[in-house]
Amino acid sequence: MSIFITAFIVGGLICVVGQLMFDVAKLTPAHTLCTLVVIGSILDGFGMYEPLIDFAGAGATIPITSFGNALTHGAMAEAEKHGIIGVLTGMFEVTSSGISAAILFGFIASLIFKSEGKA
Amino acid sequence: MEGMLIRKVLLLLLMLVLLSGCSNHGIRIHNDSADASKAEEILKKDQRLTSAVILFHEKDLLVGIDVDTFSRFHKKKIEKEIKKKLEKSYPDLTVTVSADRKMTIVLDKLIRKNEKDMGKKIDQLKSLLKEET
Amino acid sequence: MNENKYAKLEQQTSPKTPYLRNIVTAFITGGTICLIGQFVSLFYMTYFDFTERTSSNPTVATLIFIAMLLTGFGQYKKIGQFGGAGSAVPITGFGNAVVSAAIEHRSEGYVLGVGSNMFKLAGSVILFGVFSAFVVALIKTILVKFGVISW
Repeated sequence: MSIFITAFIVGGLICVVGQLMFDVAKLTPAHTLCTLVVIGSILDGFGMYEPLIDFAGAGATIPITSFGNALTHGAMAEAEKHGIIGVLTGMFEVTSSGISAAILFGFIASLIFKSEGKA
Repeated sequence: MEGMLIRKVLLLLLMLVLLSGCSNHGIRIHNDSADASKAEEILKKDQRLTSAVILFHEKDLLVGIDVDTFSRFHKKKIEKEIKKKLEKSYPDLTVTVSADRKMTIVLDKLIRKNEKDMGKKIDQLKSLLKEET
Repeated sequence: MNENKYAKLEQQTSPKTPYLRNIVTAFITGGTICLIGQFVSLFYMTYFDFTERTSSNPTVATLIFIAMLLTGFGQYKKIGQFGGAGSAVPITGFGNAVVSAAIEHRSEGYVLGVGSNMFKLAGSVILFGVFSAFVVALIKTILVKFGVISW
C-alpha cells in the first residue's frame, strides 16, 4: 500500500513546483497552470509520464499535468496506428474526463447555487 | 509557525509509513490443472516482487504481482519479463501477467470464493486489462 | 516622490513572501488532495470494473464533483487561502475555476453569462494542452518516420 505515500509525496511535490512558479517566478495562476500542462505533455513525449503514474497513482493523475499527458497520449496512440494523419484524428478523438466533468458540473452548479454577492 | 508546520508534516508522514506497514506478503496459489511449483519458483526468485497471486484454471495461467515501491517505475517491463519466463515453463497455457491492483483484487476474490463460473470472470478480467484510458 | 523612492517604499511596506511556509502548505494541501484521489480510485477498482489505468477517469470526475460542492458552499476559497498552489494545481482547482465562474456570471443569463464566462481560466489551459499535445505528437511522429527514435 506504499502507493498512498508515493501519491501524497509526488502530488505534493508537483504542487510545490506550482507554488514556486507563483512565488519565485511571479507567474499568475493561469500562466502556472498552462506551463504545468505543457510540461506534462512534453514529459509524455519522452515517455516519462506513464512510469510516473505507475509509481505514484493518483499523485500523478490528479495534478493538472496529467491533462497534458492525456491529450498527448491519445494523439500519439493514434499517430502510432495511422501515421501523421493520426495526429489530427487522435486530437479530436481524445477528450479528458476532466474537461467534460468540469463543464457538466459547472453548469449544474450554476443552476443550483447562487452567487454569494447577490444572495 | 514554520517549525510547528514542519513538525506536523513529519508526524503525518510517519503515520503514513506506519499505516503502510500492514499489507500481506507472500505468494497465494490456486491450482486445479497444472504443476505450480515452477511458477512459484520463478516468482520467488524475483527480488522486485513483494507478493503475488497465481491462479491456474483450465488453459489459463493468471498471475497478479505486486512490485516494490521503486520498481513500480518499470512495472511494464517486469510484467513482460515474468510473462516470458512463465511462457517458457508452461508452453501450453495462456499466460496473463499483470501488476495492476485490479488483477490481485479479483484473483484473491476468485480464490477465496472458489466460484463455479470462474472461466467467465477470467475472460471479463482479461478484457478489462486490455482497455486503455 | 520619484520612482526610485516609490519602489523602495513599496518594498518596505508590502509583506515579504513567506516562501517556506507557502511551500509546506502547498505540499500538504496538494498531497492530501492526491491522497483522497488515491482512496477514491482504490474504491472504484475494488467495487467496480475499473483497472489502475482506467480508474483515473471516474476519480477525476468524482474529485471535480466534490470541488463543485465545496465551491458552491464557499469552502474552496478557504482551502485556496491556506494551500495556494496546493489547491490550484490539482484538477480540483481547474474544476473550481470553471464552477465559480459559472456561478458568478449566472445573473447575466445562461448563454451569455454562464456559457461564455465558464472558460475564462479553463480556456487557456485547454488551448495550451491541446496545442502542446499536437506539437509533441507531431514531432514524435516525424522523428519516428525518419528513424531517429521508435515508439
